[in-house]
Amino acid sequence: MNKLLFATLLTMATSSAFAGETSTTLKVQGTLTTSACTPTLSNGGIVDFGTIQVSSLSSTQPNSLGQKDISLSITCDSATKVGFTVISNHEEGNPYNSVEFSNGNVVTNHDNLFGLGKTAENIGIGSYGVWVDASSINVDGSTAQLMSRGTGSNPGDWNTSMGVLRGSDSIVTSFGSFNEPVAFNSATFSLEVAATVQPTDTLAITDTTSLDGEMTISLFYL
Amino acid sequence: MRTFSRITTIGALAVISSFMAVPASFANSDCQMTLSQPEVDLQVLRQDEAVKTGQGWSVMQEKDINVNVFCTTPRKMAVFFHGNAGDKGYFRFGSQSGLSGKVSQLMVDGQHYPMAKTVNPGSFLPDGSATEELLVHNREGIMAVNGNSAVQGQQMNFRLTLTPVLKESEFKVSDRTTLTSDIGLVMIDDQ
Repeated sequence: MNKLLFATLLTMATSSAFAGETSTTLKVQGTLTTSACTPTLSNGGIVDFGTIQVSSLSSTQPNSLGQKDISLSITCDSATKVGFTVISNHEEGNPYNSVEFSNGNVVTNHDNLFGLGKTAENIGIGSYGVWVDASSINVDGSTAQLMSRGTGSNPGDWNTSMGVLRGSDSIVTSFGSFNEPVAFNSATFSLEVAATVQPTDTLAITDTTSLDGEMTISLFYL
Repeated sequence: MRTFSRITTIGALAVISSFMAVPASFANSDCQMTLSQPEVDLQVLRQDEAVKTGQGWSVMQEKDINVNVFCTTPRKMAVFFHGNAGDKGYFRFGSQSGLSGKVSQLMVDGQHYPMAKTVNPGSFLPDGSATEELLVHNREGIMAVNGNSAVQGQQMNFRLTLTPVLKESEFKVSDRTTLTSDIGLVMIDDQ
C-alpha cells in the first residue's frame, strides 16, 4: 500500500514538472551540388570573324582581324564566390602574333596569346587574345572590381586585373570590391576577342581555311 | 532557377508552421522561446570549403543561433534538444552526416552562469559537472546551475553553435541534393 502511494506521488510530481513546456523547431538545410554555378556564352560560344579574302591580307606582315565581342554569364543557384580560369585547347603551332584590341591595347605576352589552329600544311594560322571589358561587368545588378590571383597552393593576394586573360589555368579571375571577391547569383560581362593571322606568304593557303581557336572556360570555386 | 523557387516555397511553409506552433505553446505555458534564426540555410556545402578534414570527414563552417526563453514569472528552466539522431547522438544531416550542437554563453536574467546537462526532464538535477559550454546530443537538456542547483529566472538565453560534419562520400552527388535536419527545442520548467 505504501509502495502504491509512493508511485502515485512520484507520477504527480513528474507531471507537475512537465506542466510548463514551450517548444520550437530549428530547421537546418544545406545543399550539395555537382556544380553550383553555370557559365553560358552568347552565340553558342562561337566568335565568328566572318569570311576573309586572302587577297585582302598582307603577304608580308601579320594581319589584324580586329575585335569581336561575346558575353559570358555565370549564374549560380545561390550566392556563391566563384571565378573562372581559361585554357587554350589549340596551342600547337601558335605563332604568338601580337593582337590589337579596339581600344588600342596591344597584347604581346605569350601567356596571353592563344592559338588559332593550323593550316592543312601544319602552319600556325595566327593568335588571339581575350580581354574582359571591365565596364561591362554586371554582378547582381551592380558594377564590380575585376580581380585575379593564382590558382596554385600559394595563390597570392587578389589584385585588380587589367582584364587580359591568361591561359593554362594558372590565373583565376573573379569579381568583388576592395580586392575581396563577393558571392553572387549572377554575373554578366563582355569578352573582347582580338585576332591576328600570319602573313599570307607564311600561311601559303590554297583552299578555304577555318580559324580554329578553342578555349575552355572553367569555373573556379573560391 | 527552378530549385531556387522550390527552396522559397519550403521556407514559406515553415514560417506558417512556426506561427502555428507559437500559439500552441502559449496554451500550455506562459513562456515563449524564440530563435534568432528559426531557419538556417547553410547554402552550398563544398568539400573544398571544409575548415577541417580527416578520417573521411569534413567539418564545415559553423553557424550560431541565439536562443531566448522568456517566462512571465521566475522559475527553473531547462532546454532539451531532440531530433533524428545517429548512434552517437549527433543530429542526422543527410544520409551519412551529422550536425554537432554546442551551447555556450548561457545567461539567466542577464547574468552569466555555467551550465550542466540534464537527461531527465522532470528532475532539474545536473548530470555531470558545470561548465562554460557543452556539446548537446539528442534528448539531452541544458540548464543554468549555481553550485549544484538549477538557477531560477525569468529569462534564459544562450548561443547554439551548429557545425555540419559531413562524410566525404556525402559530397559525391549526381545531382543537386538538399540536406535537412529539424532540431526540436523544448523548454521544461518547474511551474
